[in-house]
Amino acid sequence: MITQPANYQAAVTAQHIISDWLLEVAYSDSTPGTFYFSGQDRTVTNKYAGLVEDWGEISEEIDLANSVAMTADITITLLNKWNNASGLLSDELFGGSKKFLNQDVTIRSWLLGVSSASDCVTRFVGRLVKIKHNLETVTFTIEKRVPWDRLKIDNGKHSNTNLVQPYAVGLCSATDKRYFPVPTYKIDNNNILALPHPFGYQENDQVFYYERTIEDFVEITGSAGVSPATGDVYAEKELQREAAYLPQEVGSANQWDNASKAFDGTAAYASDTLVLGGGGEVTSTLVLNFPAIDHTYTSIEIRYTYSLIVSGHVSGSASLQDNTLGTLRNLITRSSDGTSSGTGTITITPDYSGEPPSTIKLNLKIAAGSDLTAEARISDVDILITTNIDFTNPQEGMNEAKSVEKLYSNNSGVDLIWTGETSGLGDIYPHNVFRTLLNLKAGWDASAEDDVHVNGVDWSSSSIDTDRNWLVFWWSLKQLPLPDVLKQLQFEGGFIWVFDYTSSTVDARIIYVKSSYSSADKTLDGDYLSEIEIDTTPVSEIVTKRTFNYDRNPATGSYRGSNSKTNTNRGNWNLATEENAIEQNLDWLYSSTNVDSLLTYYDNIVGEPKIVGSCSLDSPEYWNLQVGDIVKFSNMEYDPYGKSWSSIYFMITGVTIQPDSFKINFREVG
Amino acid sequence: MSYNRVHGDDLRFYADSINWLFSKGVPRTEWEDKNTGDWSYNSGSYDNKYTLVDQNPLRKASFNLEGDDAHVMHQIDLQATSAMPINFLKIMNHNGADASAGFRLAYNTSAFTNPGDGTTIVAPVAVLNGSVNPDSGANLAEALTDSETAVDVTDGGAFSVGEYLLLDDQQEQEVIKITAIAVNTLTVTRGAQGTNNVEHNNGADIYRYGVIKPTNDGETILTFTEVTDKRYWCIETIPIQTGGAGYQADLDIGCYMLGKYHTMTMAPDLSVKPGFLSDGVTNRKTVGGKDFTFGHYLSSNDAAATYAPYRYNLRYYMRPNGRQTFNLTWKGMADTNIYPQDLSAIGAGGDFFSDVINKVGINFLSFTLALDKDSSDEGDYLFCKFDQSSFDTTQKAWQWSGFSLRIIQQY
Repeated sequence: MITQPANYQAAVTAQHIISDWLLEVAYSDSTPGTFYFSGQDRTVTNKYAGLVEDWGEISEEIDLANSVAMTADITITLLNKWNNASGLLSDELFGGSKKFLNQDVTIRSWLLGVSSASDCVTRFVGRLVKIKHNLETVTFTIEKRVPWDRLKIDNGKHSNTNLVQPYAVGLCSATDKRYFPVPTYKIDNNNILALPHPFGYQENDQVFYYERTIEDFVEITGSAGVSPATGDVYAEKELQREAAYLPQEVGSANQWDNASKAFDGTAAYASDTLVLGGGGEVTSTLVLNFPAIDHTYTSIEIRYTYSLIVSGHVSGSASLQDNTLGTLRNLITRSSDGTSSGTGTITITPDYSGEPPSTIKLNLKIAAGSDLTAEARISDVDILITTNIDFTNPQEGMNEAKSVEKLYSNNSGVDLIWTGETSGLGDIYPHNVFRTLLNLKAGWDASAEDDVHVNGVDWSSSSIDTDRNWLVFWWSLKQLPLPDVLKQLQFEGGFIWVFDYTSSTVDARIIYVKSSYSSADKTLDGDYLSEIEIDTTPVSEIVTKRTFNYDRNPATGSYRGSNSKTNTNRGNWNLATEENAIEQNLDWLYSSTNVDSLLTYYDNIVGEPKIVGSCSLDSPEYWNLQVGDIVKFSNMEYDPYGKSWSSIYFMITGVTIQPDSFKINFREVG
Repeated sequence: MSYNRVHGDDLRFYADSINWLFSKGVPRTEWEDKNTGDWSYNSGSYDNKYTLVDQNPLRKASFNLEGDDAHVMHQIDLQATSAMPINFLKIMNHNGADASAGFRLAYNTSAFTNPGDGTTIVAPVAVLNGSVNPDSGANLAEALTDSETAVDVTDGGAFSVGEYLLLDDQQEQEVIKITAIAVNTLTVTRGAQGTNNVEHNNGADIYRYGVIKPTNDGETILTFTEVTDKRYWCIETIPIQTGGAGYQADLDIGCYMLGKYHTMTMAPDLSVKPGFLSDGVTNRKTVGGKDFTFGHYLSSNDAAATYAPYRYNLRYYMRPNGRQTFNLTWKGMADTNIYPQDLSAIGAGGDFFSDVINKVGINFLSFTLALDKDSSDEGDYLFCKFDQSSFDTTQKAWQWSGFSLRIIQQY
């Protein structure tokens, strides 16, 4: 709600009101100035010329289903009269030294008895985008001033190549396989060079290579990093890297039980048991497929944890053997009842002739003539592999290096920054990032942290950091329109950002539907309302099943997660399985839990039909309401669809304002 | 009761000067709370000074006064020291009777500060729903010389500092002002409000001077001799419970209206068309011609609400259906009764245009119409507006004009 100046507030509760708007149109010139207009000649701090013939209307709307706000342009018609040689206002507006186009326009609400412009309520601040005239009238078209208009988001151009430098938001994570991509642009004598990381050199910089076959990022352990001088990401062109990989899957000839548990990262194990009561040897083989790693292997070590358990020993022995390279090597042998256990390493390199093995093969064997029972258990298998691009043949090596289009950095994304923000890389949540991007990319910052209100509450006092503690990770390798980026961020953050010029202590507002309400901003008395219309949201707007694809892969751009929510009441609306089901991609969210929260948020809004309506607020006392405010109704003539007004909270989703009328659209939210 | 009859020279229009000033741009802040250290509003949304002058009597301001003996003072600065005629105060939708609250009006040449301030306490005449100078219930407990200022009374708790008391046991009345109270001894200023010091008998009745005591809750109108040159006016509430103990309930007030009434001049040929407009009812027909009726309202606040202006004591279901209307046509009267001599010098009024049309802005502000200016029946009063956007007069002959009014009840 707008906090009205005291002298304005003093006037609004009266039963009989005289109201008008005051129009202030700024111009640039050697001495900038302002033209003042109103419906009648008035002196309210300034002298306003009474030339307005038609005020048009201010129309603002929020779309909760898509988390966007919309403000229509305002068209104001003035009589074409001015105290100059021609007697025409139009002569002043274009072509002379005064420049009005794209300058600021302010509309204030004035009530009789309010004598100071600062005591009026600022209804609208926009830019004059069109001036039309004929002999009798001048028409102004004013669009709402939004700082992000016509801006793009990028990290500037690279000084050497003029390429667009990448932009990044969020924190990298090995666990979640999140790193920022940086395109390569050159190979010099020793290094593959990539564009600068978005935020330059940082301590503990690491550079990664994306292994497509295992869909993971592997640190380059050769010389690599971020150049402190240029900020360029670089890596020695061999891209040497040493990393532990897991077997990819169980091999086709496997004979052991639960083979996949050998590398599932838990204490579970693969096992097999053999029994021999004399006779020829018996064996069974654990077969695990070897990961296919790019480039040339320079060393391979298979690491594992084992147990060899012998029981019922009468004679002979049992062994655990490696057969990965087709040559049997005993790893452990036991000739008595009991258990042998431990960890082992199979070094492949000495016998490695160039081609990597395709499978890991471990045998459980009972020697011929033995009389015993043997069980083998294997777990925690991984393969420590060192690879690089082989430049033995320089041309082949160079071709291989050239095919690397991107490297990946673990450097952190942009710091959160606005007046009053101190956490730096603290809570990388959608609303915090939104505010940061406005500051960094649109040059917009509130005068104070709390001058951004969240559902009517000061920023720092609000619960948004708990309601929306959804971590985000995002990058861009090209210029993107800032409004598009912010629009998507709003959608994924489940909030709507609205710039607010109505008060000196509120610069913007964040609006979202809370999970429940216990109080309203205002209770509207039916005695002071008219033109009440009740409706429901259209069936076409119902989303009974929504799927979000999320967790964008920095290397491929594909989405690594997909969560869905189906409204439990969808059967009530006679919708077939695929009707009113939508699938959307999320570019910022990566956590399954957070995505589920977002699904719940939108399901609460559009999962079922909701009551909507409109009415005219006939008492100016209510004219401080804004989109996003929560209202209840009392003293109403009839109930909406038989439901009790007192049990429903509504959010104002639209306002249409003229000097002497104020209409709202509202939507059930709780 | 007049049977809805209109007597040509008994019609009286009560137009509010406070809202007239507001409608002309005087800031509403010229209406002020006074002595706020002594009292407070309750905490409702409308419990503030502006509710008292919003011309919306249904919406009340509530004062936290039960058991208290504070005087509640509100002041309007009329901005001028001449040509500002005032001769009535309306208090609408009050619970003064239930709360044992009296009302007193005073004016001054400077701003008010404390209870009892003011050059003059107006000497009211109760027109509707009230009695003037009510008996306090206490008496003198001693014979009083004409100079003694420590006055012993039978019950000092019945009074509050700032009250003016009327002693009327002698041929000559005397008004005294209470400046302090010590149990049953009042410290007073003798010979106040232009009266002379007079000796008084032990046991004399003590009346509350200048106070109007509402007979019932609802609307009260008091009138007094017109004053035109005083800028500051103060409405003061006073606890009047016999035997003391302060207000008997929190005081609620719908609104105050202060101004100059205009009593219509007798005209020889007055056309009167009273009526009732049922504008809350809609009839709709189906395509087959079946008729359905939707009633949005049948009378003011007919949904069990307790209040309707000047119909306070009617049960809601007994209120007249429809919106009461009057079409009045004066076919001719002396134009000196209609317009001022010089429209550029509207002064103290006396003509219909200055006193009424100009004060209400034709169809902008509400006013009260009394069908019979002396009636004490609520039903003879109407809270209303002019249902017309122009005021047209026809000059029928030299210095002789006629005009029509359409008046419609306000809910």
